[in-house]
Amino acid sequence: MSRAHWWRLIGPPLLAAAVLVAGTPAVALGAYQASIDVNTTAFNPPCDGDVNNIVPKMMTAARAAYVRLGHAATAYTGVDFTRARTLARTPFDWGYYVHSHGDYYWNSTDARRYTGFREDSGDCSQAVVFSKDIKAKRVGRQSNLVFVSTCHAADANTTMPDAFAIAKTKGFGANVLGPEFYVGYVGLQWDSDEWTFEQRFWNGLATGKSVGASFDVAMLGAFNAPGFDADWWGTYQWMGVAGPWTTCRNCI
Amino acid sequence: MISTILRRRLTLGGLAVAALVAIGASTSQAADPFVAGGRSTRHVDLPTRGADAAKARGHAVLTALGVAGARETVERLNDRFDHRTYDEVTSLDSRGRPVAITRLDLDGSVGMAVALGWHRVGGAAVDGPGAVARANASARAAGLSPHGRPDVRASAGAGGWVVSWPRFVGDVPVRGDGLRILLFADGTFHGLTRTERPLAAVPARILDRDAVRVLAERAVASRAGSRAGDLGVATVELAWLAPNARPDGTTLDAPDETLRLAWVVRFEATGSLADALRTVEVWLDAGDGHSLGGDVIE
Repeated sequence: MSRAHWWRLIGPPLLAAAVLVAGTPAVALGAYQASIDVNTTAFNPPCDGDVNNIVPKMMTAARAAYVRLGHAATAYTGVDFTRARTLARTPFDWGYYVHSHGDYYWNSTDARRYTGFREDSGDCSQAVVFSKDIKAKRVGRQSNLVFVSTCHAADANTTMPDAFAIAKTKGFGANVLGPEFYVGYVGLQWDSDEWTFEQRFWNGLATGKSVGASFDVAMLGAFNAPGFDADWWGTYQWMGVAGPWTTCRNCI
Repeated sequence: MISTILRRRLTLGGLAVAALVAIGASTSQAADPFVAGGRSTRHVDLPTRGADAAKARGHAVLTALGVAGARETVERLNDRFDHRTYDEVTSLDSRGRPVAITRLDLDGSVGMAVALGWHRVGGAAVDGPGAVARANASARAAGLSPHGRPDVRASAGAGGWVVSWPRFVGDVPVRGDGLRILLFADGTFHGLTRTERPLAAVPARILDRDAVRVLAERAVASRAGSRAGDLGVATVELAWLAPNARPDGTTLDAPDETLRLAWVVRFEATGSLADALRTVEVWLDAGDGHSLGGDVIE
C-alpha cells in the first residue's frame, strides 16, 4: 500500500465516529454500505417511448454482486434515487453503482465541465449529480468498488474517480493503490452491451477472479457494437472484498 | 470468416465424453435459464483424462500467444449467459498467481484467451496497420484464420487496440459474432474472443423496409405519448441479432441463444428527451414484424 494512502484507512472510522456523535442516520448503520442507484424512469414510457427491460436486470445484478462482496447493499430507483438522497448517502458508501444518463456536463456556477449523471426522481425532469457534488460530501474517504454505468464515465477527462478518492492510475504488480477499483464506460455505449459487460464482470468476481481479471474477461463479451469500450483505475489484483485491506493474495 | 478455422481436435474418446456432457448441459440449461443476480457460470464435472487434455491444450494455446505461466488449472463451466459449455484453463506463475486464462470449446478450439494484468508501454506504440498485423499473428498462433477486412479501433479498455473480423451472412452483419483481438499499445497480445452463434432459418418472406418503419413508429408513438415527436427514425437496417425479449414482451435475462434476422429501426432523440437518452433501437422480426426487444444509448 502506498504511504500516501495510509490516512484513507483511518478516515472511515473517524468519519463514522463523527457521525455517531452527531446523530446517526439509518443508512450509516450497515457495515460497509453500498448504494445502487438506478434510473429506470427516464428509459421507460412516458419519458421514453420504448420499454427498457435491461435496466432492472442491471439493478438486480449489481445489488447481488455487492452483497456477495460483503457489502450491506441497497438498491434505489424512482423517487428514492434523487440528487439529494444520493448525496446524503454517499459519505457512508464504501461501494457505489449507478446506472443512468451520464455526460461531461456544463456547470454554470463554476463555469466549467464535470462528469456527472442524472437522478431518477420518478419523473421526466431529472437533475444532474456532478462529480464535484459527490467529492464535497465524501471529502476524500476510502471507496471500494465504484461502478459508474453511464456514458462518458471513464473518458480520459473524467472527473468522477476523483470524487471517490480514486486516482486515475492503473495499479498492477508492485504498484498497489489500496482496496479500490473504478469502472466506467468510454464514450457512448448501448445498454445491451453494458449489460453483457456487467454480467461478465460480476460473474468474474463471483468466481474468485480479481477485479482487474474480471474486467479483462468482461471486455471479451459478444458486444453488438464494434466500438464498445470501458476503462478502469485502481488495484488490478484486489479481490473486491468490502472494507479496508485484509490481505491481497495475488499482490507482489 | 471462421469457416476455415483450424480446429485442433482432442482425442476421439475425449470428444465422446465432451459431447455427452454438452448434451446434458444443454438440456439442463433450457430448463434452468440464467436469472439476473445469479452467477452465469456453473461447474460441470470434468473427468481427469479430459482435464489433462484441456490443460495441455490450454498450455499450448497460451504458449503460442506468449502468455503461458508455469502450470495450469482447469474447470469445465456451463455458461448460461453465453449459452456455451467450455473448459476454462487458468495459467499460474511459479508463485501460484493467475497470469492468463483461455476458454476452450469442447472440441478444443479457442473461444477466448486473455493475458491478465496491465502492460506498461515500454517500447514504441504500433499504429493501426501495425495492430492489424499483430492481431493477425495472434489469431494464427491460436489456430484461427481470420478472413475479410478487419475493423481496427483504439481502445482504452484493451490498453491499445481492438482488431475485429466481424461475421457477415451475405451482406448482413451478425451482431456480436466474429473474431476480436485486443492488443496493448505496443502490439503485444492482451485478449481474444471468437463467437459464432446459431442462426434461425431465414424467413420465407422479408417484410418491406417502409412497412417496418411504419410499424416501429406506431409502436413508439403509442407508448411515448406527447414525447413521441422527439424521436425520429434515423436508419432502418437488417441485422442478425440475439433477441432480448420474447414475442409476448417479457424480458430475457440473457440474450437469446439463437440469433434471428431482424429489422433494426433506430430513432434519434431530440428536444428535451435528449437530456435523458440519445438513441433508441426497436428490433422487429424480419419475417412477421413481432418484437425481438431493443436497445438504447442513454
